[in-house]
Amino acid sequence: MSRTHTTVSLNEIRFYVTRAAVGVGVPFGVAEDFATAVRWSVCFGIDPAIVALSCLTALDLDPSLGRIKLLGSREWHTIRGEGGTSVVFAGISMTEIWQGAGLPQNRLTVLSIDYPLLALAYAAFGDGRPVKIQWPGVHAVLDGAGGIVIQAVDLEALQTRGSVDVMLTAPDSGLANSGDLHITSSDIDAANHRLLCNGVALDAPAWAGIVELFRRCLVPSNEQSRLAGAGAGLVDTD
Amino acid sequence: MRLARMGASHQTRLSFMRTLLRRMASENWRFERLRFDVDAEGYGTSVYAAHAPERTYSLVAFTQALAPEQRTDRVIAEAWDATFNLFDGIPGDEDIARLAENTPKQEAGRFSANELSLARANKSLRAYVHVVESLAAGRQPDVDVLAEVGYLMRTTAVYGSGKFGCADREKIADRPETRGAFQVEMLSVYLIRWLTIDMVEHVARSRGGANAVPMDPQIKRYMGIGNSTGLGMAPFLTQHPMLVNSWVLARESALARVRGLPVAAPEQTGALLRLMDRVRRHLKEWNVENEIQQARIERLRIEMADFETRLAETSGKYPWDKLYCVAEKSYSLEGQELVASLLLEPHGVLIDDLADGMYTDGATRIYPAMTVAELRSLVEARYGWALERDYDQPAAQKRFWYYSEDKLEPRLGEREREPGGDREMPLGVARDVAALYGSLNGENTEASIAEFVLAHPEHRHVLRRVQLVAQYPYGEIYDSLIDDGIRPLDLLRFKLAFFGASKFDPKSDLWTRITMFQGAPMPDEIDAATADDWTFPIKPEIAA
Repeated sequence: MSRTHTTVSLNEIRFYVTRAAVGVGVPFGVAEDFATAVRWSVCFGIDPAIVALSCLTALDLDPSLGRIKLLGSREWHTIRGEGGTSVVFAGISMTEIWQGAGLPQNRLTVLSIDYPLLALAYAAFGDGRPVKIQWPGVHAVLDGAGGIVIQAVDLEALQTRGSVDVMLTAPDSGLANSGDLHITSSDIDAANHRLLCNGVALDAPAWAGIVELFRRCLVPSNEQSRLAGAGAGLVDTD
Repeated sequence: MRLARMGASHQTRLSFMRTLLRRMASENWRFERLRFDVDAEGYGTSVYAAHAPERTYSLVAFTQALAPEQRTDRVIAEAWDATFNLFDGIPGDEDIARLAENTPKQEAGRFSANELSLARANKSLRAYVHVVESLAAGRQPDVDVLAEVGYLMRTTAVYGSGKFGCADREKIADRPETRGAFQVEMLSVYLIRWLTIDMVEHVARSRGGANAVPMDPQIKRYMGIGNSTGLGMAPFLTQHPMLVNSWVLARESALARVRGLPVAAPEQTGALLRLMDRVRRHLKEWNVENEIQQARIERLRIEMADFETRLAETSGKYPWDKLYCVAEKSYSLEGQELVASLLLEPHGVLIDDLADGMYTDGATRIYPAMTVAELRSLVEARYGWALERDYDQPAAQKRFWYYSEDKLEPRLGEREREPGGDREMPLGVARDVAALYGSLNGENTEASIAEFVLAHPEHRHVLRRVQLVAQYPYGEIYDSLIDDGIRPLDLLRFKLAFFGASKFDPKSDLWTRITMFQGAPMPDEIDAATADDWTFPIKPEIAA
């Protein structure tokens, strides 16, 4: 049986996913950046509702996935959670540690992360230090100025829910032409343009799940708060 | 920016309504009523088009009968006299049929990327009924009655930027006519104003037949669009520091350019003196029930009389700067802000280009290579005022902002008396900066922010803000929004002044009514002469 779809705007994805993440206990600033990653991941053909709901539900069931640490020595650095690693937290930190922590050996590994595409999406839409990001079946090179080339054995590898280990290194000579799936910045720009003109069609039940988590941020109304709300009385025939 | 000054803001020639009208005139926009399928009472479907040089934007309007007990301006309303979309292009029959199913439902409807805004409005019954009855009887409405209201309908929400499925801002951010802040929303309101005037004339004709008369053009111009504004604007201002910075920076830059003029050209002095006549009458006609605001207006009248005298006598070097300094030294905040607005008024050639920079599309990412020591210095430099407060005192965080389950209506609660403090919006910037600062103490000062925020994700939102404000200092509100003494009205007025609103009519500390486009030329009157000569509206003098 086919699933039903609903169409939303990219801004709605940001608004609802941010607050859905807060609804499962994610700090607001992290939630904002997670929503940014989800928003951009749409350009890679992924259903943002399914992915976001999966990530947030996992965190809701096991908050320890979000308690990530940076471990390291002179030879290596690793980001990992307790048991597994939630992309909600690690997807952002991965980019920032790469950009800002001055890793001496130009190598960072994120262990057992879910939905690595979200981490890539967050990294892809910022400027900064060039990086090569890899997980099984996927290689991506970001030139640090908005340019991106992705090669993957197939869409399944790119959109995998994981968990997988992701490695960041300094880009060398670029990518060997190895893989059936080849995505560049211009493909992503074209996809973004289509989304802006048509909206984002996504899985309706998964979106309903996001909205349900979002509702955890709302405060129940009562007669007193209704009357105290901003505006004229409940009837205004001025 | 301090709240008290924000709460004394006035429109300027850089305000968004002003820039829209100037663009319409300079680009020779054409306006066209494409559809007016309404019954004798004005209920039905209408389409009004604005043809810009390269694109057309259409207001699609649905008007209906509304029982008096259903009429409320609150977000929690379920029905309205009129509902609207601004459509990107000209809608076909299928589009209109789709919108007819959704637009009247407002937040409960769904929209597409073809719709740039979603809005609704309610009649001011006293003005609407009076105008219809007068025109139907063959006479012009009593201007004094209209002056008490200033509009026939007031909008109660104008949504854009992807709300409820509408087009994302990104879709239109590269277009010259919609790149500026809130241009889509301002255009929507301008076309709604046109519709309301057509509507009363139509209903009057239906009732009065051959006796009916059209509205005098001067009265048409005097009719603005009302607006009721509540707490929704406060989260917006806090969450868009880069955008707010661009607005204030433009205004401050404009003021600096004018104050830097070594001499006052007679044309500019003369133009401002002529305007002062209208300003004086406008202030005399601006009367509100709110005692605090009324007292401020009365003082403003005295200060503007003084300003007018000084302006007439102005001489010597840097005269505009001298006038500003007098205001800064002697006038109320209302007076200072109005003087700032007036000084800009005759200097369009010098400053109007600044309006082109009043937007931002930049991302707001953390700068991960900054060190803990550098961040501490930033906090101390920019947020000393926030660190001085004791947040263990209940008054320091007495209030909290939240979204209600009732249609997401933004509300302001009292932490100790009401549930929901654990679900507050992140508007307690001062408190959160202090908490960040506390966590920075004891950290390795040479560690990167990337490492710090990985270990302390709870500070991420405010850490980003501190870094941003270092670059965009006008984006911050240097007061606590959760303090016992917070007056949300100050935030609303600031934003509404940037829109170009006038006749602020506060109804409490939580909400205000305003008038938009009052005095502005109608679509068939827009030209270079009228597009920028309509502010400080005054009652028209209509021959009996």
